[in-house]
Amino acid sequence: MRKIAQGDKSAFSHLFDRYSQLTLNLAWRVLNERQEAEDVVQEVFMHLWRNASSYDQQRGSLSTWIGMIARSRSIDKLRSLKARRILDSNNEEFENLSEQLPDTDDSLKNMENRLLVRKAFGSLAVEQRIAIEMAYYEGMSQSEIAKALQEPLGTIKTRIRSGLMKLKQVLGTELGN
Amino acid sequence: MTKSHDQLLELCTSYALSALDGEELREFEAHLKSGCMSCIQQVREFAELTARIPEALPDIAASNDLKDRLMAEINREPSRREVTVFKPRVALPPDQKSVRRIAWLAWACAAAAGIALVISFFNISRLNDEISGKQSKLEQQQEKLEQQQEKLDQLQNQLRSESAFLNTPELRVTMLAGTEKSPRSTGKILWNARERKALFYAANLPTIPPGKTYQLWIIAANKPFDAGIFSVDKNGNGFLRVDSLSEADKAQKFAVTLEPAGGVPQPTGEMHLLGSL
Repeated sequence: MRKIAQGDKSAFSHLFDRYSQLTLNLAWRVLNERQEAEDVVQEVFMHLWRNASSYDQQRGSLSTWIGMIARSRSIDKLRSLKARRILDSNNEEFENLSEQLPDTDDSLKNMENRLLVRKAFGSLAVEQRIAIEMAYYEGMSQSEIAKALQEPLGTIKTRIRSGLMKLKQVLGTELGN
Repeated sequence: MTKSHDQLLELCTSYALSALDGEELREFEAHLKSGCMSCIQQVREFAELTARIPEALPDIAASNDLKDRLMAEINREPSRREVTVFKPRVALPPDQKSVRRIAWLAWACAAAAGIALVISFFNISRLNDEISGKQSKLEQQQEKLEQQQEKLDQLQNQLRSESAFLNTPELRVTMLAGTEKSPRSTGKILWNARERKALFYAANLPTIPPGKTYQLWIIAANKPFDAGIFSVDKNGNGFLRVDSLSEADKAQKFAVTLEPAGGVPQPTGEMHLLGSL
């Protein structure tokens, strides 16, 4: 990021190659519109180009920083488009993992990590997954989720907490932490 | 109602997911601002965790020109190394009479300015050298830091890869015992016949004499197949990662022999470790 902050376009190109796919996947998942999702990718990377010097390694990893920007931009756009939608609880994208291996230049490590995350996410109870995804991809607060799902607020809080705790536990175990 | 610390700690997950709202959000943010390190740490950990959520998404194909469009936009941005040229706002015409009257003064000023300029030049030059030296040192340190980070990333990748390997259901473990040559030595091989990969650990092996090396063998269909060479530390502990284990599906035994440096196609030296399936 230091090189990018100094205007190094080659370093920026590498950054794009490394994180654009993840950013696009996230934006597409939130917006469900290819053009809008690609616009978000453009916005996110322009932001990174212009604000590379504001990245502070002490406050979190680069992927977390980029993920937060991408998520925030996507949700802002979603709100502006007023296209909020409720997650389909029958989503089966976590099934047949081997058939969904990404066809990209990702390194084996990245693919392994992504499979681990999918596996970990697939291990959550459907209710936990829905609550977490509504918060993460739809940008909904726990009160809004409770209202949308017509469940008590305490139940949603518990689902989010227990879901994330389980994710942490499963990923921690899988990664040997 | 004010929450206890335990209750606040429970809010870390929702906060990391940006799902907190209302009074709880205000109370929790005030708590974080008060500097509670355990909550700050929890929020950081869960923020790192939630950032991984999109990794579970399937890949969406991007338009072919997405990167080109972005790079074109970047190229339209003004360069960060552009130098701003200072221009005086108004150019005043010289008054000929005044010029003549104060010509001597101009020369004196010019001379003084010249001396000051020379002194300044030396000072600036010295400062520039100092700054360049410090900058170069800083860059070297940053390079070093980046190299260390890269090394750390590599180690983490290796650790993850090994952890993933250790979690495969087909993983088998075979213990190797020391032979008469090395009764105190032991070995352990963790291997996966399908993936043909293995991790081998040895302990208490004798020090390797000059010009020699330890070699691991897999014995399959009563024939030895080379599985790689390894060295040991001062305590006789050694490690070998095997990425292509020959004849793994027919393995009967594993053995370690002492061989000429570089290894040999067939075992010729003394056997130090042996383990049967």
